Amino acid sequence: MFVPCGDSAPDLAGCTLLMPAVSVGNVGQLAIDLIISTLNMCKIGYFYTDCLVPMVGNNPYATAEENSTELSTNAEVYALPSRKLVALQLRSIFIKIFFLCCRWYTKYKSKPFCEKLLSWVKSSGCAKVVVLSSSHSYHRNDLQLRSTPFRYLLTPSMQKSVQNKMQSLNWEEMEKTTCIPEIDESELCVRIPGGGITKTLYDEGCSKDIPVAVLLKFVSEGDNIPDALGLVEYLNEWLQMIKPCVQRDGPTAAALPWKIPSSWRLLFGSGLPPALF
Amino acid sequence: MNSGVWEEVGCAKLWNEWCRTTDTIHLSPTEAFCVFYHLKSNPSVLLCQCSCYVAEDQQFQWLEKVFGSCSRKNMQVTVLTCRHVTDYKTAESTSSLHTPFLKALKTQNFREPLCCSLLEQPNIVHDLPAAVLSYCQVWKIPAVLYLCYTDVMKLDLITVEAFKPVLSSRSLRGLVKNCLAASQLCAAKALGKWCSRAVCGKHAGGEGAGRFRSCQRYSGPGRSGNTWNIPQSTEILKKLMTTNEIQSNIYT
Repeated sequence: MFVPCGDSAPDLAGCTLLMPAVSVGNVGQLAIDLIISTLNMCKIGYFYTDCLVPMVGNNPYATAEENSTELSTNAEVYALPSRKLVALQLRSIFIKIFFLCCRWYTKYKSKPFCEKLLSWVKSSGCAKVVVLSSSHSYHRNDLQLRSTPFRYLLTPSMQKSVQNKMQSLNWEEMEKTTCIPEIDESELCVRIPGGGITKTLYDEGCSKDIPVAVLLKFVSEGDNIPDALGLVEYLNEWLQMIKPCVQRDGPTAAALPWKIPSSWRLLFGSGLPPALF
Repeated sequence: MNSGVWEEVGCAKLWNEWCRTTDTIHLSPTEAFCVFYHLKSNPSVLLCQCSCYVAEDQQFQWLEKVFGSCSRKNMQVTVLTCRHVTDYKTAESTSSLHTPFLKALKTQNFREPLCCSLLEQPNIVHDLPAAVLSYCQVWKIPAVLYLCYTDVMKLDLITVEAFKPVLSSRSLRGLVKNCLAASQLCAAKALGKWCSRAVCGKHAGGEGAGRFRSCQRYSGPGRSGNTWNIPQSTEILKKLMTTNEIQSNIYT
């Protein structure tokens, strides 16, 4: 459930909700971090749920001593009211539950989370949801290997409003592949291996008539910061969240001024003991 | 707990695959639980001793049962826990750090001075301490978590003594008799204990209920009718050390 930071619930009617899917390389989450950090979005509430593994830490977007002491939890909502942008950041994985029925079974709480999330999206009046995600690059077919690594997907209610824009940007729609990869004659459907809840959100969006757009990149696990930068620039082609910096020294391609959050330090662990060398 | 008279007032029973008996003769899993005590001289002060691992799919239910039936007004929560120093991320090598050391996290509504420096990004906290602090942050309850990073796998007095500064905090100094007692008090608190002014509630079923058995509240002066004596904290320390040893490796 959404719990506001202040005393009253903020008005999200007509806003665009950006959110990550916890997916291969955590690219969606890194991309949302970049957006929140660069646009200096402020926290407006928490998405308090029993579906995500609890975690806490200090402010991941701290820029100074004064703002470093704010506690952050596993699912928080940020806003930039001037641009009608809202961002939900998810910082942990879905909880696995174990239950006994003749033998032990496990399932993830991803489906209940999607239902609760989309129910909140509907009740809050958000105009559209944009899911930033990723998919395993090793699952690409020959055509996908030879093309751009970025793909988009739109639910039917979203297609009416933005399909033309996507075509004008020359974006590639996520291809349908055989539902059962080993059987060529099986039905065609959209598959997003490594995409976490991306497919579930897309399917729920289709069935509940919610405008959802999925933007994803084919990636491998590793240093996924360049993938996250690529994904936010892909999103920026559509939403135009930030403008390029003005370059003084000649007509070189202008870089977009994405701000790396302070929490991205030590992504690969602590310093090494000198005795190792 | 050596500094005052504490009475057992309830417990939260649960079972998960981490709960294993220390008794090698009776091999069936034993019920693990968190015990709640109140200070007899001031029953609004509650202490929870968690001698078991509360699994991730039980934490939310644990919070709802323990916090759910009490008023959040005027509540303040202190959580004490430990982690191995290899969990701590820093630019220098962790082998060069002077352990044990204390770090803190606090909710927005916590206004008291801290006993140590804040936990810097990119470090984070998981498990029940994180669940408690998240609950307090979301529902605007003043709460502080003191986390001791140590370089030993087994609980020892040096690690426990790292919590000494916490005993001088505004919330806890009224509960502590003297420094010697303070060491023993730290020992009793060292594995995920928290102190609050709340009262634990009663249990209902729900998903995973087979693993989360019950949250019982005792009425009356306590199960056995006894008041606690001095050696209690030593017994608790022994139990905590055994629990720590079991939970260090789920495969043994």
